[in-house]
Amino acid sequence: MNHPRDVASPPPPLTGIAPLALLRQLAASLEGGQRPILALDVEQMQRHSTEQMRLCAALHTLASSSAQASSGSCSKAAAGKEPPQLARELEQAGQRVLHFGRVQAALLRRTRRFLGVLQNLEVSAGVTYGPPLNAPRPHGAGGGGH
Amino acid sequence: MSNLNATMATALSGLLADQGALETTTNNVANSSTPGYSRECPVLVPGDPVVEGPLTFGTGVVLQQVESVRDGILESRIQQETQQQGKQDALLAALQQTQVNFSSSSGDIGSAISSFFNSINQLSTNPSDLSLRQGVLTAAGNLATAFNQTAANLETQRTNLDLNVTQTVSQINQLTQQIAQLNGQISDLTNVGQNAGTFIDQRTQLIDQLSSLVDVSVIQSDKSITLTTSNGTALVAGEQAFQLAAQPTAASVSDVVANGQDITAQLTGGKLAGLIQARDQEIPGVLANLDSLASGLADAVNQVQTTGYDLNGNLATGVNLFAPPPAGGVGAAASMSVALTDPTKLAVSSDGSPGSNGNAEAMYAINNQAVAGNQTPTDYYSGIVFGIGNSVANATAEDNASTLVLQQLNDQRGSISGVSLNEEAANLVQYQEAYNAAAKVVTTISDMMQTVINMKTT
Repeated sequence: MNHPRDVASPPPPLTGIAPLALLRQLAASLEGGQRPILALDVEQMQRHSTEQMRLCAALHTLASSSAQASSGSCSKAAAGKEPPQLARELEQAGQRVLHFGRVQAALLRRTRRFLGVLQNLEVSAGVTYGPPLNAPRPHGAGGGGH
Repeated sequence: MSNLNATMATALSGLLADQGALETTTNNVANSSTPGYSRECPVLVPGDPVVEGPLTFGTGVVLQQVESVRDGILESRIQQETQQQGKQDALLAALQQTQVNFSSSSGDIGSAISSFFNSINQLSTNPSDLSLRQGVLTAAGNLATAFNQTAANLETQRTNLDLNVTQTVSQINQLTQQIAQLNGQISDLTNVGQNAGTFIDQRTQLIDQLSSLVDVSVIQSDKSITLTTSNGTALVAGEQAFQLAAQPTAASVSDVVANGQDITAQLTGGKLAGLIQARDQEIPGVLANLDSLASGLADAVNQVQTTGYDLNGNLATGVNLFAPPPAGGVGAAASMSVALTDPTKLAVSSDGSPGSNGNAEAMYAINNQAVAGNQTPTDYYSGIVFGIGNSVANATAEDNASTLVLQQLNDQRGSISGVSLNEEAANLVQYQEAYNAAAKVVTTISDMMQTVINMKTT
C-alpha cells in the first residue's frame, strides 16, 4: 500500500518536477486523503485539499508551458515523442489519479449524506409543536371570555 | 431490620448479583470471537432501602438486567452502506461481464468493422477479382456475426441477471421470514422482562444480510421492529413477514411485486437494485447503441451498393449487401445478416465498366462518414466501449468507497460492541473479589449467629 508523504512537511519545490512525479504525488495525496474523510478529520482533509490544489495548479502550469512550447515550429518535432516507458507510466499515473479522484468523490458524497442525516436529527430534536409553556400569550388569544 | 437475618440477606444479594455479573463476563469471553455478538453488561442497582425510625438501611444489590451494548445510529449506517455495497457489487460484476464482449480481440465488432473496410479497400485495387469480391462478402458476414454474437451474449447475460433477480427475491423472503420469527421471540422475552440480547444480535445479523440484498429501513418500536424498503413497502411488521414476488412480464423479464404493486423501479439499494439496474438500464442501453450502429452501417452500405453496378454491368437497384435492418433499428444488431451470396453482384463499379472502382471507393468512404449519432462507425463503436469502461470505473470507485466506509464502521462497531478480553479479565477479577467479600460477610454473620445461639443455650 502506498503511504502518502507527510502533508505537514514543507512542500517540495515545483521547479524541475516532471508531470509524472506530480501525478504520482497527486495520486498519493488523493489516496492519503481517504482516511481523514472517513474519520471526519477536517484539519487533515483541508491539508490534503490544499496540497491537491497546489499539485493541480503545478500540472496546469506545466501543461500550459508545454502547449506554448509545442506551438513553436522548432519544438513541434520533439513534442509528443516521449519514450514508450515514460508514456506508459504517465498513463498509469493518470489512471490512478482518476481512480482515486472517483473514490474521493464517492466518499465525500457518503460523508455529505451522513452529515445531512445528523443535521436532520439535530433539527428534528428541536422541533416543538406549540409555544413554550412560559411564553406570554398574545392579547385576544384563547376563548376565555375576558 | 437491623438484625442478623437482614444483614445475611443483604450479603446474599451481593453473592447473587456478583454471580450474575460473573456469568455475564463468562458469556462475553466465550463469545469473544462470535461474529455479530454484542458484549453484555450487568446492570446492578441498589435494593430498596428500609427506613426504621430515624435510620435508613440499605438492602443490598439487585442485578436489574443484562443489557447488550449497541449503537443504533452506527448500526443504521452499516446497514445503509451494506445496501450500497450490495448494489455496487452486483452492478460491477454485471458491467465487467458486459465489458468482456468489447475487449479487443479478433472477433469483436471493432476488429470486424476494420476488416470489412480493409477488404473493400483491397477490392478497389482490383475490382474484377472474384476472390477479393468473395473476401468482402466474408468480411461482411464476419461483421454481421460479430454484431449477432455480441447482441446474443448481452441478451443471455440479461436472462441470467433476470434469473438472479428471481433467486434474490427468494432469499429476501427467507430472511424476512426469519426476522419475523425472531421478532416474536424477542417480543416474548422482553414481555417477561428477560434479556433478548442474543436474539437481537441474530436479528441484527439477518438485517445486515437483508441490507446487502435490498434497501431496508428499520423502524424501531418498544419491543419489536418494522422493516420497509426505502419507498415504504412493508417487508416485516412485528411477527409478520410480507413476501415479495418475481412476476414474469411480457418483456420476458420479471418485475418485483409487493402486495400486487410493481416496485421494480423504486428499489434503490442492495444486490436486487444492482441486478435490476444492469438488467433494465445498462445492458438495454448498450444494446440500443449497438442497434443504432448496426442499422446505420447497414443502411449506409446498402445505399451505396444499390447505386452502383455489378461485375456484369447491371445496376444493382434493390440488391442489398446487408439485409435491411428493422424499422426504427430495434433488434438490428441481433438480426444483422448478409443478403448477398453471389460475389459478382457486388456493386463495385460506378459506371458499369468492370474496371471501375468508383463505388468501392464510395463504400470505403463510409468508414469516415457519420452513420450513427453523427459519428463514424469506428468513433461510435469507440464511444460504446468508452461508455462501458467509464461505467466500470465508476462502479469500481463506488465499490471501493463502500468497502472503505464499511471497514471503518465495522471497526467502530467492534470498539463499541465487541468483546475486549482485557476489560473482561479486569471485570472477572473485580466480580470475583466482590463475591469473595460477600462470602466472607456471610461467614462472619454465620459465626455471629452461632455465637448468639451459643449464648442462649448456656
